[in-house]
Formats: sequence, structure tokens, C-alpha cells
Amino acid sequence: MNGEVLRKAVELAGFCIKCGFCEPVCPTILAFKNSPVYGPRGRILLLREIYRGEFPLNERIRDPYYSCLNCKACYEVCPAEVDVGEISSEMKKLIQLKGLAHALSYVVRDVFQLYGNPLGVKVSNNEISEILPRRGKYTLFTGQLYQLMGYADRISSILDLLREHPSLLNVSTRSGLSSIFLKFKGASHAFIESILCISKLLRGRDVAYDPSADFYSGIFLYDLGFEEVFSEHAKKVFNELKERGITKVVTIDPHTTYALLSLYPRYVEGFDIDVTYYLELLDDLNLKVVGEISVAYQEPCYLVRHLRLSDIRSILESVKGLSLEKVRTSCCGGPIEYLYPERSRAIAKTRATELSAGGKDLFITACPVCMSNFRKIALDPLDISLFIYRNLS
Amino acid sequence: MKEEIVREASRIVGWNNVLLAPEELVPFRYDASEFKGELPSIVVMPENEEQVSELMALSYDKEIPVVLRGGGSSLTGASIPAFPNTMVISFSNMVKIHEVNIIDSYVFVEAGVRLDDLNAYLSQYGYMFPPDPASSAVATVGGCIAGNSGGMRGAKFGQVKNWVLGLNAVLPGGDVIRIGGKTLKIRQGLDLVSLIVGSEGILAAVTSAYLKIWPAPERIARVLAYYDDLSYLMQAVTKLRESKLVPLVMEFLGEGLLDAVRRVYGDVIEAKGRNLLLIDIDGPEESLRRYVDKAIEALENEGLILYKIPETPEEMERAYLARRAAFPSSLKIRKKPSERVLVSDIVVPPSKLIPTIKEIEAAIDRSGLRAPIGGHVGDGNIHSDIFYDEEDEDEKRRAWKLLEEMAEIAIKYGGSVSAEHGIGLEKRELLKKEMKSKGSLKALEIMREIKKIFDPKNLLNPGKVI
Repeated sequence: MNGEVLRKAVELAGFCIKCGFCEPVCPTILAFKNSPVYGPRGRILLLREIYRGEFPLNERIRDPYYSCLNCKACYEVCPAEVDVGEISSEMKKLIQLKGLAHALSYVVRDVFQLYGNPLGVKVSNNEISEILPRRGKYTLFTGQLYQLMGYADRISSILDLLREHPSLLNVSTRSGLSSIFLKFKGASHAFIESILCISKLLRGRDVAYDPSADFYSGIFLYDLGFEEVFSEHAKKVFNELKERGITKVVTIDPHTTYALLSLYPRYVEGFDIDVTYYLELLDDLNLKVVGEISVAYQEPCYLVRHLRLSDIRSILESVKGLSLEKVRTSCCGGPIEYLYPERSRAIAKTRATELSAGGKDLFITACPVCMSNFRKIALDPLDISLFIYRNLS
Repeated sequence: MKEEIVREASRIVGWNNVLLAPEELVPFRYDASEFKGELPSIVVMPENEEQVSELMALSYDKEIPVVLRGGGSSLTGASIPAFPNTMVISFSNMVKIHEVNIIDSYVFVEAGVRLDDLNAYLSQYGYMFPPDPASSAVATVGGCIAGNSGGMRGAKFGQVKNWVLGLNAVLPGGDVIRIGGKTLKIRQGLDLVSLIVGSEGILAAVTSAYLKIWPAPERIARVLAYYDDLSYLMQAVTKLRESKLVPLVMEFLGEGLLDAVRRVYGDVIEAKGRNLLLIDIDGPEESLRRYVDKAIEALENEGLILYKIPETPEEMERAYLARRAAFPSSLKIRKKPSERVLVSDIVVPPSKLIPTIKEIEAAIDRSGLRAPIGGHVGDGNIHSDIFYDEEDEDEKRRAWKLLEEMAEIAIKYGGSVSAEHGIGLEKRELLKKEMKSKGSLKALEIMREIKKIFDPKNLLNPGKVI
């Protein structure tokens, strides 16, 4: 099994010619003190040494791959179209199989297996039920990511504690830790408001909501290399949806959409649910702003690079009186916030500077992970759903 | 490496700017070449010239070899350690653009600034730094100075050596020299700036440079001319040169490259014509039409299949894709991941392009390898991407032999074994061959003596060039 995973990773890296074009665009190299092993070319070079037996398969290889954001910035500039995000995902599986993953990731897995989401919080979706009908052509599938990211600020303090006292992460105390996670109550209002706005935007568009059919997608488990756990969960979600006769779902965030559109078909045999990202349904928007406003827009990597869905940039550019600078897409650093919070914030700061986010009238994003990460560096992005809802003419 | 050396290096640059973990050292034994270097013992990332100076003094005192590292995009192994126990000095923290002076036509930059970043910065002023190696996204100012890089605009603007006004550099032992200056003309006795440009990091560590800048082209017109027979294409190149027109870019894409582009990108280029000559002509709006007419006159011969002049920015961009996509397309049609590529880089006087290309094509046929050719024909620079399966020893041997044969053809026609990629580890023997053919082995001796003066203990990028 280990050998197979490693061989697959090496094959994915096969066409790399080491030109290094990927390094200037990779957000993690800079955040990891300019160390190229935390960049795409370095990850491939290390992988090839591991494969040839020149570098030992030990815990030293963990951080280069777990730090990868899978943002596809490297893929976009690679002349050989090598996808280092995919390679890192394979390597994370291998590292996890060898038991070399971060202790914290095992906590996440345990909590997930006990409570169905990685934070162990009880997500309430009653308010959505009040907005959307129970039956319709499409069914809203929030994937609970907006809801869960609402707890991110509170989780940070616990994670800081764990980093200061790593002994708390011993296997024997994991269940105890899980119960600490469960104590979180009350998600941040900004995230809840986004979900409600999305629900309102979808009202009257034949979109229904059934709280019993809304599950966490399992994406974080996949990101942490727990392929089997993810795969089992994906099958379970699929069966639950099928049992309820759901054939078309509407997703609301880039990561859940990616999980359902790109990963579920890979792991669930016969997956035939039709998945639509909610903005694809809102193709008749007529937005107006009062006066002139300058906007910084953080384009979610998963939306534009992985899925090539919904051109939000064009939606914004078409609004009269709204000015939006062209800045290349780059990750906010959010996907590694859990394991490398300082690095993740460093990436967010760099990105905020690139976008001049602090100097604009509005800072917009369309991803709860971006939203959460920018909030950690004292910025307060507005979710695209709120912008649309408030400016519908 | 001894602990006291690590401690001292860390004191100089700060612990945060030191890489010691084995996994972090791995990338530094590779660059964009097919060579694998030794694992360095330490990588340090100084933030300023004083720190570089202290590190060079430490290396000298403790006799630790040093390799300088910019973007790591060398195609000849110039930026990897040839010996164990090496200290790599990476310039990734020295990325300041200190000053742009339009009146005096220079930009003063640190060695770690990447070329694309520099040009993005200069574009705000309507200026550019003309040398444009294909690796400009990753290549640094320091690396391009060390490699005397060229690029597509070489026929008009030459190589980096034509654009360096002054250098600040640290010598083995730690002495700092400031040579050249910020003026457009200068006489300072023997020209040490020219000596260091292209020296591939074996003489001194360049920390910052005064680079000459040039106004960005006012307008550009693009012409694509297709020929089946390569001789006719080269004839057009000769006529263009005779016409006194100096295009900004004059790129040739041979059959193998065009075929790859057509296979990968379908209809972005015309379906007819085996070889392509792409020309960019720059100039003021009012003269451009006349220049284009002149170019077409030169391009027209009985072998011309068709030509296109894209008009709108979208058409211009689409046409340029043919050039930009050539190498990636060529990579994408590889059959196996174990297929590697050796990039040949020779130069001949443009008047010798026709016989040179004929002999190169014959050599490629003999090798039995896929080796599409193309290049910056405006200055006689031909590249060939020689593909081989690294798991097939015989193919590997044939690839290296072909690289050598191409270099020999260049020598035969009065050219050189390297136009812009340098010597590094790859072409040391070929350089000897070239100098021998010119009856000038003495020149290599002089180079070695000069190296001794700069670096008496042979600590700076040892094992490279000479």
C-alpha cells in the first residue's frame, strides 16, 4: 500500500523538469522563511529522493507536504502541467498510513468520527428551514463549512494551548480533548449571516432545504490524508441523500463544492448527484451600488482554479460605480491554519497587502475559509452573498 | 560541518535565515539542469551586503566551499554544489529595488530580485530591463549577471553584459569591491565588471547592481511567416538582416516544436507550414507600417507558404502563444514520465545559419532521438530540446553525444558551444574543445590564473566553468 501511494505520487511528478517557474507563485515558500522544500519544486525533489531511497521515510517529510495549500498556483504556471497539490495529497496519505502525521490531525479524525464534523460542534440550521421550503427541484447542501468556520476564532485559543503543551496531544488524552472541543458554543455572526443571505437569494428558485440531509462533506479529513475515513463518509452522505430521493444539490462554498464535484465521484461508486454551486443559479443578477466604491476581491482558489466555476470577478466588474483592480489569484493561507497558524497568518498578511485589502472601501470574498483566515489578521471581509443581497436593484 | 561554523554563520544572518534540516537542504542539490549536486551542509540567506561579506570571510577562514544561489534555474548545473561540505548562500532575502533613475537611465537593485518582478516594477515608469531569458519568472538579477543571460530580445539588445553599469560584489575573504558605477560611460582601467558578468559565481558574489534601463517599446507589430523548407526560412532571416531592420524579436520554431503546438493547442496557429518565423518589430506608430512592409519584402521568397499580421491585441496574444507554448507543448507530448530533456544552446554567426541547421538536422536524424529545434535566430542562437529516457542508458548516451555534436557544429562554423546558458558543469569539456579549436588554450590558462587571484583557495563555486 505504502509503495503504491509513493509510486503514484512519483508518477504524478514524473513530467517535472525542475525549471522552478512554480516557486515565485507559491505562497508557502515565503511563509516558511524562503525554504524551497516548502514549495512545489522542492516537494517534488524531496519526493524523488524518498522514492529512490536516498531520503528516509520519517517524520521530517511531514511538514513539506502538510503545508501545501493545494491552491494550484504552481499548476497554473507549470509548463509540464504537474499538479503538486495532488502530489502532496498522495504524500499526506502515505504519511498518515505510516503514522507520521501531526498528533492534532488524529484528534480531528477522532472528533469527526464521534460527532460527524471535525469540531464536534452541534450545528443548528433551523433558520435556513424558515427561509427555504422543504421540497423543490434542488436541495441546499451547506456542507456545514460556513457554520463550522464560525467557530474558528474560538478554536484558535485551544490550538495555541495545545502547541504550548504538546503533551496534551498524547493518544491517551485525545478523547478528553474531544470533549474540550465540544464545549464551543455560538458561532460568529458573520458566518451565520452569510448562510441566511444565501438562503434568501435562493428563495423562489426551486431550492429546498432539509436539515436532516445536510452533512459535513468530510473535506478536512481528505486534506489531512485520511483517505479511508473520507471515502467511508462520502459513501454514507451519498446513501443518505439517495434515501431521501435527493438528486440535485446546491452547494454554497468552494471547498464543499470541490469535495462533491471532484472527490465524491472518485470515491463513491455510482455517484450521480447533480451538484450546482449556488452562484451558478443566480445568473440574472442586476446589482447597483450607491456612488463610487473601490473593492478588493479575494478570489477563492478552489472556485477558480480547481472548479473553474462562477466568474464572480465579472459579476463585480459589471457593477457600475465599482472599481476592482486586477490582481492575480493567490491563496489566503486558510487551508493550513489548523496545523501552521503562524505561517497561515503570514500568507494572509502577504495576500492582504497584494490586494491592498485594508485600503479599499470593501473587501469581499466568497469562501468561509478565506473569511476566517483574514479575520485572524484583523480584517473583516464581506461574503459575496451579503454584497449581492444588499446591492440587488 | 563543525558546530562552531554553523553557530557563527547563524550569528551572522540570524537563526531564522539558516536552513539546516536535511529535508530543507535537498532542493539545493538540484537546479534546472540534469545534474545532481552534493547535499550542502548549510544554507544561509543573508539580508544585506555586510552579512554576505562576513559569510565570505567565514568561508575563507574555515576553508568552506561556497555556492551562490539565485532562482536555481541554471540549465548547466552552475548553481549546485559540486563538492560536499558546502555552504550555499541564497539571495532570496535580498530583493530590494533601491532606486530607479530615469534621467540617468539606471535601476539599482539587489541580487535576489527576480527579472519579471524587476520588469513589472519598471513598467510603471514605461521602462524595461531588456534581457529576457525564458526563465525570467524565476531567474534573479544576480543569477542573470553570473550567467550573462540573453533571451529573445538578444538580437536587438544583446546580453546582460550590455546592460550592467556597475556592480557591488564580495570577494572570497570578505572584501567588498565597487566596480563600474551608475554612469553610462566609464573607464576604470581593466574592465572588472565585464569580467564578473558571466563568471558563473566563481569569482565574486554580486550583491547589487546598477543596471541600464530602456524605454519600453512604444508599439509592437507582429508578423508570423510559415515555410516548409527551412533553408527558405533562413534565407528570409539573412534578408531581414541585410534590410537594416532590427526586429525586437526574431524567433524560429522548427517542425518538431510547431507539430507539438498544433497537437496540444490545436488551431492557435495556421495549419500549413512546417516551420515558423515569428517577428516582433517595435517603433513609433507612424513608422510601424513602413517597417512591417520592409519585413514582408524580406520574408517573401519562393519558399514562403503564408504570412499573418495579427491586428487586435487578442490576435497578437494568440499568435504569441505559438512561441510561448512551444516548449510546454514539447514537454506535454512526452510519452513517459522518465523522458528528460537536455537543452542545447549554441550560437553561430547568423550568416552561417543555413549550413549549421542542415548539419544539426542530420545529427538529430543520426541520433534517432526527438530533438525539436528553434531559437533566437536574430542573433544566430539555436536551441534544441533533446529528449531521452533516463531509464535507457543507450538513449541517455546518445542524447549527450548529440549535445556534443551540436556544439562541434557550432565550433566548425565559427560559433560557440554556449550562447546564453553558460558552461557550469555541463560544458567544461566543450569549452576546452572550443578554445583548442581556436588555438587559444592559453586563454583558459589565463582564466584559471584570474580565478586564483580572486579566489586563491578555490572556494567559490569550485568545479565549475574552467
